[in-house]
Amino acid sequence: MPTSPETTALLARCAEALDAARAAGADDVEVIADASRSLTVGLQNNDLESLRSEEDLVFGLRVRVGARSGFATTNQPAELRALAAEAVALARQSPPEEGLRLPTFADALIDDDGVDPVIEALLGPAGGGPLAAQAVAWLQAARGLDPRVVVDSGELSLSSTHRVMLSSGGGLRSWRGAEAGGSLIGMAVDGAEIGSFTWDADRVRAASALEGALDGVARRFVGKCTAALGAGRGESFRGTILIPADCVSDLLLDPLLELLSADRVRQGKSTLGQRLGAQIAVPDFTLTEEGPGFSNFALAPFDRDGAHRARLPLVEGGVLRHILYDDTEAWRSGRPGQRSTGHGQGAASSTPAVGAACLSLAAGDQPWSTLCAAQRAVLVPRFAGTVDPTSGDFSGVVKGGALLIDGEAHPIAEVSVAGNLYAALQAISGISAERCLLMGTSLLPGLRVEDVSITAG
Amino acid sequence: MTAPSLPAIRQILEDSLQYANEGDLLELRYHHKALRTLTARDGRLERSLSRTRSGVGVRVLAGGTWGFACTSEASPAAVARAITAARAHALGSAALRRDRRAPPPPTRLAVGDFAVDDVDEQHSLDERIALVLRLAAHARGAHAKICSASTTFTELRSEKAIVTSDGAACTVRLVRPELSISAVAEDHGQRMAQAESLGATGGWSCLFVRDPAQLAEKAARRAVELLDAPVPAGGRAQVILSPDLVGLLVHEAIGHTVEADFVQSGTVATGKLGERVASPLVTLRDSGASVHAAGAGGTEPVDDEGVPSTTATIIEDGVLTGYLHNRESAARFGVAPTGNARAWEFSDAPLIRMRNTYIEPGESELGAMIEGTPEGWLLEGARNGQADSTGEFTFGVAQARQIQGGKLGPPMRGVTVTGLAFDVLQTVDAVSREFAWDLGSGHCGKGQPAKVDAGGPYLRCTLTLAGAQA
Repeated sequence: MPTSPETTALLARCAEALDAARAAGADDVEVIADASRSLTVGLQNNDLESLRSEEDLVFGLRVRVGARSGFATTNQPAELRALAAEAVALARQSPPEEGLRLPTFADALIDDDGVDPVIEALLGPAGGGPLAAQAVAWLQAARGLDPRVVVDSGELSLSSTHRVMLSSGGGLRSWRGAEAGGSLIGMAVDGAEIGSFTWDADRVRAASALEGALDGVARRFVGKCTAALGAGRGESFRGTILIPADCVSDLLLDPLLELLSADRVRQGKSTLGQRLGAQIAVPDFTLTEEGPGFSNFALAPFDRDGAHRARLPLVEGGVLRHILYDDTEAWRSGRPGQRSTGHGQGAASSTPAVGAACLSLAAGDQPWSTLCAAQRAVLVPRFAGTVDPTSGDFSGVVKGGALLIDGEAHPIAEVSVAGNLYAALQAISGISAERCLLMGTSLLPGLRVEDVSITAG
Repeated sequence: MTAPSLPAIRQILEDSLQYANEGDLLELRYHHKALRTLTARDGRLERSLSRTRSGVGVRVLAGGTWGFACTSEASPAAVARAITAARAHALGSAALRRDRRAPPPPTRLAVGDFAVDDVDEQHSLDERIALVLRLAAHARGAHAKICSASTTFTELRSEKAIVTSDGAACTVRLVRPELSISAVAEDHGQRMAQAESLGATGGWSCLFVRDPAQLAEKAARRAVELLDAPVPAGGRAQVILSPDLVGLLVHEAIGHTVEADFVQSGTVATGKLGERVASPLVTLRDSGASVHAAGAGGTEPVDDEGVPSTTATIIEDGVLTGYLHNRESAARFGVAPTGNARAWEFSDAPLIRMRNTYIEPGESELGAMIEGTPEGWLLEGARNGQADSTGEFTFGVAQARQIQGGKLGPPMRGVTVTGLAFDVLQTVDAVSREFAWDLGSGHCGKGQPAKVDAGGPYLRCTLTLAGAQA
């Protein structure tokens, strides 16, 4: 299979580590290398802060010695033999584990064409000046939308990643990707009044899409900053909250995904493993893990174990269909025939962890504006609090929120919400027809949820 | 291939100062981190990980702007290339910066070799594996309703060499062990997980100031107790905060708002120096040393700009007296640097971060504070928290116990608590003699992680519980 010189060079390094691990006594070996480059313009206090570049090359080595395993990682390519010796030594000193195996893939999968040449060129020595100029122009554009907005910090960055994996089963993996993105963090200051912190961010795979993405970030950021000004006291009641698309993950989906992870099921921290086929949410709730990602933000076609990524329905019509497995959780489950669903996540510097890489939540049939035309509800643009992913209890403060009275928004401060995730999934009374693509990997609508405790401070 | 020793790397950095241009500030920082993590759960070792990461971060202040580059190779040639790149970044973006930076004025910088106590203490892998297996089994066996328990032990060893063109030339060695024990209780389909953790700077004697077996029992007991416990009612209430929650309060509510980079953007602390912002019972400091008790998790003898650590007083007897600074912000405010510039790894540029943040102990006794509370809550167990520019803080509490007529009620589930920082500190009416560091595990996040600690005495104040409504 043809490979680029960069891939060939990385594979040679990985082969060196693999051979060293075998020579040290490993029965199975998985080597992963993440090579990355980035160029970042930092913003602080409404000004350019710094321009910085970084190149990194990290190796991770997972070994099996009999029924024992070990993992070691380094960013020193000259120390791969020592890395192999360390991983094997860790394995030898660990207690044996019944059923232990490594994901020893045997096929080759190479997808090295995902790098936008414009981004790649800007990552070279001449790219810093143009990127800094674009960052400052973006900063000025954001502040030009409303001079009360203060950009406390932010950044505009370009990066490329090259991941290579080699298995003692004979297989190899290679993927290259690049992205450009920006983030803004700050608040509005109007005289003596300081608004709540807010942030916005986006990222794209193509340089041609960056300007539009940055414009969107600036407009949303400024809108959220200024909406937090003039906040008054809220009301305490039990009732309706409205969750915009960019807060749905923090409040509901992130903890739900933890509960859908096979490791948490095995650890007793989630009961959802026993509820496959059960109605866990309202019938309009359909959640899908999008596997290799959306067409305009493709992900590596393989996961951290080297397993192929594919779409996986998690909740369909409110019914729980699947939970997420990586290779380790598949064999640790003890269920005969249980295979990885391709959801091992993580960098070369760590062992895999179960998780979703790309999500979509099905759109509803009501415009967001209709959902917001509630008689009395609290809008939750940002949630600062705690969700206990075992009990499902959540409580926290509403940031930049508003009390909606007959659809009219009244900014509020010092208002908190409390409830339970399991109950909230059954109390969704509306899903917006509009969806937002967030950071390239989450396509989400806004939600309306009933029966939540709302406390004014 | 053998890596160069720390003194040899310091010498490479000192030799590389030859590339500093007249008028520029050149900052070179080698950082080697070695992390070992072990996790045991339900009788098996689930995770055994060794991670090393090292390299040199280069910051150049040229043309009024910072440029930063880094290299994983601590060789003279690689450091020279990184200096060239960092200077090019500074000069290439300097024309775009509105407010040109001047080099910070001369200050006392660290020269010599610094290390925390017990930095060379070693424990075998077998000993550490036995520890995590034993503690996970102890938590699992602590109660019949515990269905799963785990223990994670982490040890981070850090070696730095810091050299600047205006005089810093030092090495710093640290070790930070950390232990976390988690237990899950199950009854009639209900699940409750609780965790307890410790984190320190130093050897095991610093980490295990409390018996870790008791910690395992506490995690298990709390998980069982809270299985069927109700959620407290939401609303404003008088509360007594345990030392870990006092740590969260001072870190989230005050500490972030007095970091001078935030102060310059505009926070509730901006322009309030000399004003009364808290009860006279409150004196709040941030220190690179471990005061009152050994082993605080955020201890740093020297910061990542080469400034020796100090103890910075933020609030003295209720009056706001200072902010937390790096060299640049200190110059802007006309004060001495406080040693708060910290970077997570060689590839990170230093930011203004807290270290060990605490409220000074007072004169009260916890028992008397409870007896003197007619209606309120005893809150214990720190969870995550957040700060805001407005001074509105939020943090999670593991467990609440109602106080009625000076008597403690049964445990109830934890909630998030919130308030406006300075308003809440004004309500402090009792501060206990007890003192503990209790936030040394986990990390503070501000673009990059940082190991911090926080703590203090028990403290009584008034804030809002984000609890249930009828």
